[in-house]
Amino acid sequence: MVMVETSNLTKKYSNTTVVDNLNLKIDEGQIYGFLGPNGAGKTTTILMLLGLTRPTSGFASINGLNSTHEALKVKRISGYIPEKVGFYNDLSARYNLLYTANLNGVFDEKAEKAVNQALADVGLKDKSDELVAHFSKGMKQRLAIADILIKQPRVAFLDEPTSGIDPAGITQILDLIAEIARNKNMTIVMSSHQLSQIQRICSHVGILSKGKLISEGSIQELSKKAGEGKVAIEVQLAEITPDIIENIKTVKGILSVDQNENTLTLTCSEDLRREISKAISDKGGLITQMQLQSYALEDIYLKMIKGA
Amino acid sequence: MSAFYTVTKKELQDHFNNWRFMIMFLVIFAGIVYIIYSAANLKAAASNLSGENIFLQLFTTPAFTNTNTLIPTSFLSLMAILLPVVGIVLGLDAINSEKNNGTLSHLVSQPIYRDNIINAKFLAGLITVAVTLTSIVLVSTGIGILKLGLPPSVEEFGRLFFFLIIGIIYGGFWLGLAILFSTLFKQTAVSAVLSIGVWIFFAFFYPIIYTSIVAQADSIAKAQSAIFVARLSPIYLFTESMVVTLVPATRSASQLLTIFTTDAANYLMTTPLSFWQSFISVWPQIIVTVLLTVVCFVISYVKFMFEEIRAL
Repeated sequence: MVMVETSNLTKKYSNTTVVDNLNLKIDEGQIYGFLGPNGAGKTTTILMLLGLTRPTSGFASINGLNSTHEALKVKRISGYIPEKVGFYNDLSARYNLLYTANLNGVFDEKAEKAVNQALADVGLKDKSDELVAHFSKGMKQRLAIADILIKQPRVAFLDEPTSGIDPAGITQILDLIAEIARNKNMTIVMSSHQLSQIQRICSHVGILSKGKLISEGSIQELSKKAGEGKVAIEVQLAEITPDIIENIKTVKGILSVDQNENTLTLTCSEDLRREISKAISDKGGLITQMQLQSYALEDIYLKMIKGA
Repeated sequence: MSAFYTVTKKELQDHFNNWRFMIMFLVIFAGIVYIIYSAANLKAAASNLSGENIFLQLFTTPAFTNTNTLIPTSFLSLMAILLPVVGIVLGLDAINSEKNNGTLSHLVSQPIYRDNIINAKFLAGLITVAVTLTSIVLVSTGIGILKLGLPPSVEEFGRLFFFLIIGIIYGGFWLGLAILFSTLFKQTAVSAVLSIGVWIFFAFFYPIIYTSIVAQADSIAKAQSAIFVARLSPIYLFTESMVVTLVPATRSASQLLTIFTTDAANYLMTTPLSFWQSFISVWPQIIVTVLLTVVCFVISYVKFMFEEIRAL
């Protein structure tokens, strides 16, 4: 079922077109990554989907509800974490969340219960009575996720949820998002300008540049498209002999072989991991590690947004 | 409705937990208590306690007689100057601080109508003004009863109550003005300086302008134009209507200007006006005060409702 949809969605500010005839379809239960450089129109698209900004033309809808004309209903079923997460600094984490619960029509004991559960889910239970002013950026981001959990929306929009957070924190946040999407059956639309983060948890990706959707699909589809059918495979061996290299080169579909100490980087026309490992083991080689490389996607992402 | 209630409740809690507001409240409270106490001492010391509406005189007679006229020394003139400060402190960063904090985009993405937010902020401010003013009037009345040894008459009580209502609306105007600036300008410093600037202008500089016009007036027409100029000031409008309310012997509002500048006794009647007659002679001033409040609120409302969230 389509959860999020836009049709010829366009937003113009005086003479610049921020979002240009955007057509999106995001199915229920997906974790959709919205990828694009700064200023590509990611935030504006999200704001239009939430009914916070009026489109110049076209329409956006969530779960079949028109975002502009049925904004209140849309807001009831969607959560939003802005890039600059805002909480009342002079109030405790618990109070901030209680306020959200009350605004969503949940009061008293029910609200208390929901707040405690959400704080526990994001690992902030022991910080619940501290002022938000004392929270680090990462903790605020987790609090924002707790805020979403209180609302229990059908779809959540996370705008750059990892910006300004240290690497360990990023992993934590991303895993938390993935876990929530799984456990709460929530559709998640996450924007980012970092491919690696999108790749880590998103099932589908849309690449946005200058307001236009320039590529879309699942990660696998995109990698294939991005590499023009080429796939990069990285193999780590205990020891590399010329024999092994020669044998790999005989595999049909291998385009190039690069050696760097004990690591081979192979460019192939398709995913040939099975054939490659056979070629190596036939010559008595020991594989310590083997993985499909993503650098091709990264390269192409950069190429795409530059070219567009 | 429940979202409106939730936002109002939170705003009220914020106001009463706000140290900025609390300090201002205590300072104003201390000043008022001192003035009423001194005025009550003066009255109690005077031999003729038998005059009309002796209780109301507590609120209008200057506590100190030999000071510069620019410094307000009666309860009424002090309230005319300080109620704006209460309104301004409550509203000066109402909208833009939430914008800068990022809490406004969180708030508008919740399932509530956008006007609930600004309505609730205005209502919470107004309630806070009401609580502030009511407590000040009640404590002042208490001091008056203790010092003079007599309670206010029913009519005096009615007039004080009327003062309370108009005082709340007057505070509401300044609250509305502060909220207006906080909607129009993104920086809290800018909106704060503008609200306080308007207040300083009308409280301290504008009186110099109209009193100098009055001083040079040599015909009735010129005196009337001076009154017109003076009435452009919301502070003057409030003072004018409240002097008529609290000094029942005042004949009509238009003579007030002269009351301020020359010997007041010449312009007072021997028989005081009834409450209803006093009201009739000041209702235009009251309507204008209410209208000013409404205008401020409507402009902020429209600006806030049609603002692109992008800009937040």
